[in-house]
Amino acid sequence: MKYLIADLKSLANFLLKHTKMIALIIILDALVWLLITDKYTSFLHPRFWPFLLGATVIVLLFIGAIIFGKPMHANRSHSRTIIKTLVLLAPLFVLYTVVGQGMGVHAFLKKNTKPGLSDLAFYKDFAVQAPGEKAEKIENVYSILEVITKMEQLNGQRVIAEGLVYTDDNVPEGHMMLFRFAMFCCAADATPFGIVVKIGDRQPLKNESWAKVDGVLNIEKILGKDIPVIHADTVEEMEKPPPGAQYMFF
Amino acid sequence: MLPISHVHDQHTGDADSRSWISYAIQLAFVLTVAILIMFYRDSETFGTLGITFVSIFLEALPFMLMGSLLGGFIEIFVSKGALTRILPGKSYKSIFIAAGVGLIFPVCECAIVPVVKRLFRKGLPLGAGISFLLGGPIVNPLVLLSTAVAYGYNWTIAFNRLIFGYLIAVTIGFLIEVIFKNRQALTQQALEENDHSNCGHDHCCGHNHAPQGKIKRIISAIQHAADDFLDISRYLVFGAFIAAFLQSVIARGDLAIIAESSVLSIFAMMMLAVVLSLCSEADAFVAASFRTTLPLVAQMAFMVLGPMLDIKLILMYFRIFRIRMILVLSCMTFTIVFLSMIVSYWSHGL
Repeated sequence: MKYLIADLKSLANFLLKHTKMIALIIILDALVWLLITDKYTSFLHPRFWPFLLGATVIVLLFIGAIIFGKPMHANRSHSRTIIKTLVLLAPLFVLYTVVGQGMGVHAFLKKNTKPGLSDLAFYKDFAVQAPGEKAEKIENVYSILEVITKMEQLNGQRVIAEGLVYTDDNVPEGHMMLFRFAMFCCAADATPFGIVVKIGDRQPLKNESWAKVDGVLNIEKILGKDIPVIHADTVEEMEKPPPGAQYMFF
Repeated sequence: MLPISHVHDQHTGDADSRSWISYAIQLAFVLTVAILIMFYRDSETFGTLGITFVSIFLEALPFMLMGSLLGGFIEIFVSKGALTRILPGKSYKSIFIAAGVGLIFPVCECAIVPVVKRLFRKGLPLGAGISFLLGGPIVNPLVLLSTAVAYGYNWTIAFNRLIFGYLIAVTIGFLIEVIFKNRQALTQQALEENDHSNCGHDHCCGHNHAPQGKIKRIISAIQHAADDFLDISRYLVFGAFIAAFLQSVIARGDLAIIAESSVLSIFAMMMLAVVLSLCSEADAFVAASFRTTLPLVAQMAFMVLGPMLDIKLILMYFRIFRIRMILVLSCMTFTIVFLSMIVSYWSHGL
């Protein structure tokens, strides 16, 4: 028992002495995991991967310098080093908690800036495709942003769109909103885009469920603005896409 | 009982070592995150907060690492004399030059803090450092391009943002140079040049232990970079968390209710810029999303202030500046941006 305690003490001393390196190794693991599994697209635009790769290389350099260089400082207070390390690793603890989730109705209500939908035409110049969408266009299938920016073109035509369902007391009976987030750089700047869906007598789907809507698009005047409205023929609940595929990317 | 070393706490000049409050706050933060993860992980608000928090951190992380690496190489390879030859102290020309350096050497707001910290140690004049700190993240070609793209290739708006950013950075650089001396503005850590010692001391002990040999110098530079990163990134974490928390409780669309007053909308968008803590490449797109709700001058205020002053930056400033300097710099930046936008609105109807 005495030797076990001594061994544990040695291990604890070793870990405390090398706290910085352990923190860097944990950060390195997280970066490599995010890149290999593509899970970074839950938080960042896909084009961000070279920066994460660069970050991985730099962290490797830091670890190498700590291993091969001479120690620069004698040990400071261990308790303070532990606290500093825990602060630095806090985002990674949260990362592992939220990585499977995507933003939902709560984020929609907080990030919605209520722009005039007809002024979103300038977005049409951006390439907008959720990752995982097939390269060749499937007939009648459009992203929500395409429905909004091409509404004049699609007016009166059949459209199929997928997105998150929003329905609460603010949404009139017989209607629901279909929305998705579009990201420029990271989830912090993600902006929601939504379209109105007329579901008639159907039972509305659950708030924040994913739905595929198939119907005819009509432009209707709502509160003085031209709004695209899908008169749904079918509304199907669908499986939630993986987090990286839930966003539209500019 | 685990051994605790006291030797360097009184000598390192690290502000944290003199302030138990700082460690109490850090401990409280860690406990808060732990409680949120354990008890609130399934709530919608935590989902929004968590995703936003992690995304801000991950987006800033590569730039923070790059900035730290550059700072480390500056520490070892740039001599004090070299910098003061290029930018002599008290020369106001240096302020004009520093504010525009981002055009040749684009750097984002997260990378710039560790770089400027090291440059101060090498004798960078205070005013020039401030104008680089404020101007660098805006006055750069990447931000110019992203702004133009966000506004449908409207280069007028993009150049207006760049010009505002440059002039405001220069103005504040001048004012800070007049008001403060280095010793009043910078923390002890930012003032003292490292002796590159491998004898365990962080402060100058009277003789130079700078490593000899290229490889050893490179390793030493990277070690300094690692230290900088581990030191400053905690403040990034705090800033990201606060920004994420505020994003998850403040609705962007609520700003529409103050849209009728241009002055109020400018103020509100400036507050939003401080809270959101977005990178200067992405904030133009967020600003543009308000184009039908708020006047252009309010959007411009958001785009000009954001890269100069946000929660993330304010917290990272604690590694370079004293509290009085941070307060003065923050208030001055906010006020000058606000006044610039008001003047611009009244004179041009921007």
